[in-house]
Amino acid sequence: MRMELQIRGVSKTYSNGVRALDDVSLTIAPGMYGLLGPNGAGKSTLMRILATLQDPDEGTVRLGDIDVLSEKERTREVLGYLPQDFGLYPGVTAESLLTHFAVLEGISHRTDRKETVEALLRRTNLWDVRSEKLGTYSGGMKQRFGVAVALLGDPRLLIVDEPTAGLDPVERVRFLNLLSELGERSVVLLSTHIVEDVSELCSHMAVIDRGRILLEEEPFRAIEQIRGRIWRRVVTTGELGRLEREHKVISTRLLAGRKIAHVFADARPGPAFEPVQPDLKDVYFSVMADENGRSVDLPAESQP
Amino acid sequence: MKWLEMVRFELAHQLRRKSTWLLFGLFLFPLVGVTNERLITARNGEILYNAPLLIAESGIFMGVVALLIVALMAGDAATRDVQTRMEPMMHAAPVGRAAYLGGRFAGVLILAALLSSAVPLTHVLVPLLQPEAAEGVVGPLQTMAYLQSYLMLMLPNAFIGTALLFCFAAIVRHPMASWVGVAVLFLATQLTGVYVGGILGRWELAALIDPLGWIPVDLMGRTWAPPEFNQRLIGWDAGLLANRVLWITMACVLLFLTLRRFDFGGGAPAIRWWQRNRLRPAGLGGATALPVDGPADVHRTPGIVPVARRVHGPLGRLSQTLSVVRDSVREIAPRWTWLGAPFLVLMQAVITLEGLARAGGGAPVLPTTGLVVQTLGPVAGNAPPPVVLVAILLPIVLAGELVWRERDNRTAGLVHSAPVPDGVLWFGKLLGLWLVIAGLHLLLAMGGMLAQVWLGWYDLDPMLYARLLALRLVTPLLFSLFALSIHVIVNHKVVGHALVLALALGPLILAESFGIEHPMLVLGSTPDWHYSDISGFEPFLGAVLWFDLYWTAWALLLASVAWLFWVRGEERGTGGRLRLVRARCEGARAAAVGVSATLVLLIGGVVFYNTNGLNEYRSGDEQADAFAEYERRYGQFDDVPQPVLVATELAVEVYAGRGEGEIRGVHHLVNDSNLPIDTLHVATSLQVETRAVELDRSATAAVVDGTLGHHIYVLAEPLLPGDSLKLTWEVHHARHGFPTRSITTSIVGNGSFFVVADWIPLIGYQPGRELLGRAQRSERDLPERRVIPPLMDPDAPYDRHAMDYLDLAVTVGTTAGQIAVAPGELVQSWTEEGRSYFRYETTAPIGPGYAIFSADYEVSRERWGSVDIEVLHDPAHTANVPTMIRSMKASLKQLTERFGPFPYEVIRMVEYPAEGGSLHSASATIWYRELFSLFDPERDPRRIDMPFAVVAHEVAHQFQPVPARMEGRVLLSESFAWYAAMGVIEEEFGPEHLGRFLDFMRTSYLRPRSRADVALLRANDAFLGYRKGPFAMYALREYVGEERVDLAWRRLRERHASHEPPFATSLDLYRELQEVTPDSLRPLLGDLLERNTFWELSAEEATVAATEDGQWRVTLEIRARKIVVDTLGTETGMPMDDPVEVGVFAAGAAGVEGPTLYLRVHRLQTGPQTVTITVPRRPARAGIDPRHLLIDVRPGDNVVDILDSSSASK
Repeated sequence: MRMELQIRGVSKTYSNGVRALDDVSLTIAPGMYGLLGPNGAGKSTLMRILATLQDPDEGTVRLGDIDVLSEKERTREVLGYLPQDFGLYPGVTAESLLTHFAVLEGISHRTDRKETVEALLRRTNLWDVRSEKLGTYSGGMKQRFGVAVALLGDPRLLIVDEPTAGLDPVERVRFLNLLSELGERSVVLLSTHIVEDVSELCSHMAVIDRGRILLEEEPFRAIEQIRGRIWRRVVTTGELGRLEREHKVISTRLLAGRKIAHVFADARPGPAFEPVQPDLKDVYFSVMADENGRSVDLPAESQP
Repeated sequence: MKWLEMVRFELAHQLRRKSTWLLFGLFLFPLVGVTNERLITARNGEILYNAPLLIAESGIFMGVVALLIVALMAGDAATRDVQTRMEPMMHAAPVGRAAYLGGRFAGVLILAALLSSAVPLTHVLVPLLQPEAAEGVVGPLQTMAYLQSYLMLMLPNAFIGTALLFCFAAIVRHPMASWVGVAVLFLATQLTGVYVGGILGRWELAALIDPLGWIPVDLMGRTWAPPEFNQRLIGWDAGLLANRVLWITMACVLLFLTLRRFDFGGGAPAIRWWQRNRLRPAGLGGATALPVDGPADVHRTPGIVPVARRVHGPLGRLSQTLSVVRDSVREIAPRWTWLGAPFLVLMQAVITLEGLARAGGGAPVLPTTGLVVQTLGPVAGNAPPPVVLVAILLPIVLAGELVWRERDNRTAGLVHSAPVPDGVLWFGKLLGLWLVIAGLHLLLAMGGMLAQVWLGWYDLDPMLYARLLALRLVTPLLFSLFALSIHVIVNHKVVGHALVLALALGPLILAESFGIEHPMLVLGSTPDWHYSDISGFEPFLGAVLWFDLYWTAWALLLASVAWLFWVRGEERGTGGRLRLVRARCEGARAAAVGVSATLVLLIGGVVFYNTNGLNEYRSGDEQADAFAEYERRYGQFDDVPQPVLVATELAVEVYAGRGEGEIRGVHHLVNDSNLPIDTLHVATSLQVETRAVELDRSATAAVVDGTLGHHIYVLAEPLLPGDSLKLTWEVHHARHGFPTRSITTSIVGNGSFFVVADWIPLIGYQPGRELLGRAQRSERDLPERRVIPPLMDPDAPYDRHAMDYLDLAVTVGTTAGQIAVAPGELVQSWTEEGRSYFRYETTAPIGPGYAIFSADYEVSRERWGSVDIEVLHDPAHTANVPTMIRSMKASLKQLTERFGPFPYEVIRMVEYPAEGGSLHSASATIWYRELFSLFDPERDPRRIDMPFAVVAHEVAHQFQPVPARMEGRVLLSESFAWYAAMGVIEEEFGPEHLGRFLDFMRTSYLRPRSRADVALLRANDAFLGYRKGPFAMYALREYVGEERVDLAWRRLRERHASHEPPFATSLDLYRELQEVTPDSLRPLLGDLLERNTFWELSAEEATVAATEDGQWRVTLEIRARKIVVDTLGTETGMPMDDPVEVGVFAAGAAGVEGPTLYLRVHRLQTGPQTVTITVPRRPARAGIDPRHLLIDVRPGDNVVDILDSSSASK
């Protein structure tokens, strides 16, 4: 059974006036889907709406034949959700708590439940510490435990909200590997502000900022679209201001103590510039740079 | 500066929060309510509303109530960073420990002080706002009284309390721990009073170590003379100051230790302190032992997630619910808490033992299950208030924790996105809480059983435990449901706690002061009930169950609303939640609200029909209005001469199963005045339906007032002096459904009992129905009235209301198999139409306060001379029957010799079902409550036989003169009864036993009390009647001789043998006693009865020297003083020239005087003096008034050890 997640015209304004989502529409097919955006872009709000924990002011969300907004119970049956920020009962062991969640997921048969819990604990590499109290877990272990909970009941829709924030590089790799396998049968929606998460994992992505979708594309194609239009040069701090006035600087980064500016331009902006093999970061930054008021359009005809 | 910043920040933070203001507002309700209540109390009493001592008392009380609110703020301040996980950040800031915690603490303390200051302010304002109510009961404003109350009591208590609450929360790292602190404070004060003061008698120590300062203030109240109250300030009392210094120091030490102890690591905030040592190494080890890289594994494993079958439908819901239950139990009762279970069982066993001791008033009782369940911890109806408070706080705290479990632990995202219906989460949590509460009660029951087994009682009766606990559990279970629902709906933890607390305590302290009396309006209230071995749960069970059902319906309604408002997901704002509620308002949830609302209406309708339809509902005020109206309308007829009742014939039917009773009767009245009587006033009972009242001569009913209970018949022809009149009447008693309060227990399945005078028509206006409260009277424009006529009232001895002795003939019919009892000889019994009938006739006139009983009695019989002795008791209550019969026999034998003949042919003791163990002595019949049959003198550590003594006391009442209703009455009744019983006890058990018995009675002296009082001749309270009076009689007996004192009493009885006015007064007794007292002892007699005299006698030193002729010369240095204390507490020293016993004793066993070597009366004067005595044997102790014949509040210093000066001088 293949399910497609369709988000149509979803808007949400908080009581303090913040417009967290503004007419968001997305179509998400099974596979890994990355939702990229800076902090406060509205990612978590969207995730919570998809996870049945919040209701939008307007819009519809459908998962296959399920109306997510009105059929919450059905949605939860097929839903796995790993919140951005969660805690665990400190005095309870991993096995015992996962068993509890398994029952909540409806896995009531003892043998089924034992198998499921064991399999998930093994897959998340927590089997050896299953009898430890959760209060003693490190951040990465907690995060993996969260994945185990999210994976209970073989979810068709897995929502993972900023899962890699705060993980050390080793834990992050392990974690992403785990996620990468899930995209085969399910819709996996990964929100993050770390571009590498998306570039390494996702077959589709969207960029969101201030509640609006700025870009919806396959990462590979998005990179193709700006190929040959990203240039870089070393700048001093004094030069940067002038450079920004004259060119569309999408990012500056430090490399071995020197500041390197990336500039978006159809042709080489000057002799000091050299061409760059663009990556997803350049895509992201150029989109964000547009959003921040720059008047350069990504030309549609430049698609290969 | 940093410290000040912390204080400022804390203050600003708390004041910014809406909940703080809400809590402050919530505090105003009990504050105004209680203060108002005190104004009402003042109007009914003699003490001014703003008497300094009362200001101090209410300051302490409301200060403690305020602590419940301070606890919420202190808990928050102490643990906020742990809760918000800002801890590491705060700890990283360069703030010293003292600044960090101290600042927080100081912030809360300032708020607590502010909150406390509302108490004196309210106290000043309340009377100002209602000048009418305050008139005459508010004295001039004494600023010092408020200042002292605030500075000596409230402020220190705020400091001590806040410190304790704050430290508890900081150490346990949980905000709710601070409520434990409040409970600890309550319990400390309570237990100090009960054990250190009450049981050990160390009142000074108790005053020192009571953390709230309640006991020192209470002691002032007990020892001050009444007139002192209105003026006297509590002052900078040394004892109180010492107490304050001690506890402020303790609080500082606690604060200091907490500062040192507080964990600033902040590393693993989730781990509580008791887990820290155990878990940390294991956790770290576990983390590092992980394989560093696992992805390779992951890739090799085929299939991503195991596919498991999901179980849908009821079965799946059931297992989900059970899992939530397990999870909830794990939250509120983690495994380690069960380690506390044995402790809880033990603690309950101790509480039960103490409760049993209290039940018997210090005398041991048999620990039957029915009795033990009364003592079972928080659920017990008669549990001490702190225990009740803990019982209320516990479900509140637990409910709050459960509702907030996911959000507090931030697992809400995981749990709320799981496919679990809201109802399952809701119901699972509720069941979890119920399970814990039920488990707790199970443990308490085990504690009760442990206590029973400890006392050697093996008839545990688990079924009875189950039934009683099931009934008692309803309240806490319902209450926890209320608490959970409110927490869900309010959705603010602190406010939720406060609201639930208000709902819980409101009914306890508020309902009445705001005029809410109907129990249907007071959350969770059910009619009072008690279990009886004889009548079981009758007649309460139905009413209690209906009320339980009623509150269950409300609980269901609230729970359904909570189901609608169930918090799931992130919608926090009111608007969002309401939208959610609207969306959910369909299907099962809407139906639940509808059904439960219907249930509330239906069941409420049934209850209301019972309380207000089948029974007439009257608020306390309406009741009082009726009595006032009765007095206003018919009080004018009080002096109208009425015929007297000389004989009554009754035909009584007791329908035990139906709760119905019926009496048809004839009163024989005689005009014994010397004037013709033309109107007859008949007072009918308000407890029964009076169906017919007929005269045997022509008369017109001028007034038939069924509402107030007064009929007036105008006789066609006046009743001439000496003429007689027959009044025929019929009354019917039935229990219709159930009323709001005091469910009548008159007729039950087994154990019916009623005092006949409460049912039948009485002759004349009844002053006994008049209101007594000063405020109650003045509010209704009634003139002031004395509670009891003064000693010098010339008319009082002639007042014959409810005094007529009469001949009685009764036929009682009752359910077959039961024995019905009425006064007099049983002349016939028979069966008719399946009912048992008994005919009783008196052989001599009896007093008007007689009763009728019917139960499945076992009768134990004995005979003394021509008198039948009978004890009618429950077949299971046999333990004390032999003792009772023995005592009755011994008493009859001795008392007839001392005071004259026993007038009746039969004397009965009859048991009836009621709480407590008190006895009542009416003519020829003594009735006793069932607890009395459970007294267990074998185990009495004081080695006295209470049942024997008490029965002797009650039998002695049969020999007392009929006392006039006026001051001094208790001297003629209770003091006489104890005086007479002393002789019986002494004859039966010997003088040592009597001595031990007197020691027990003397313990009421040792309790601190004011010496200001009236003289015994004007005695009108239990202390004077039951204690001081008997001691005066005992002293007379020893000084004047028993025969002479008895003679006085016998003469008094003979003079009043006719039962006609004037009735006996204490002045009559005084005259008789003077008659028999030699001139030399007359002043002593005056000191004992006519004046409120105290002797201060002490032995300073005693030395002994051997004489030449082998004897021993004792030199005793003594000090003596005599004072008279008036009712205002003024002490006047009296020149003393009194006969006082001086005694010398040989060495005895520890704690017991040895053989008496010398005991003789010396005439002693005021001041220090020396007495020299020569005794034949080596003496060990010597002293003045060693038998404590004279009234001396310090009997302990009368006798001293003798120093051997002969060996020293050689």
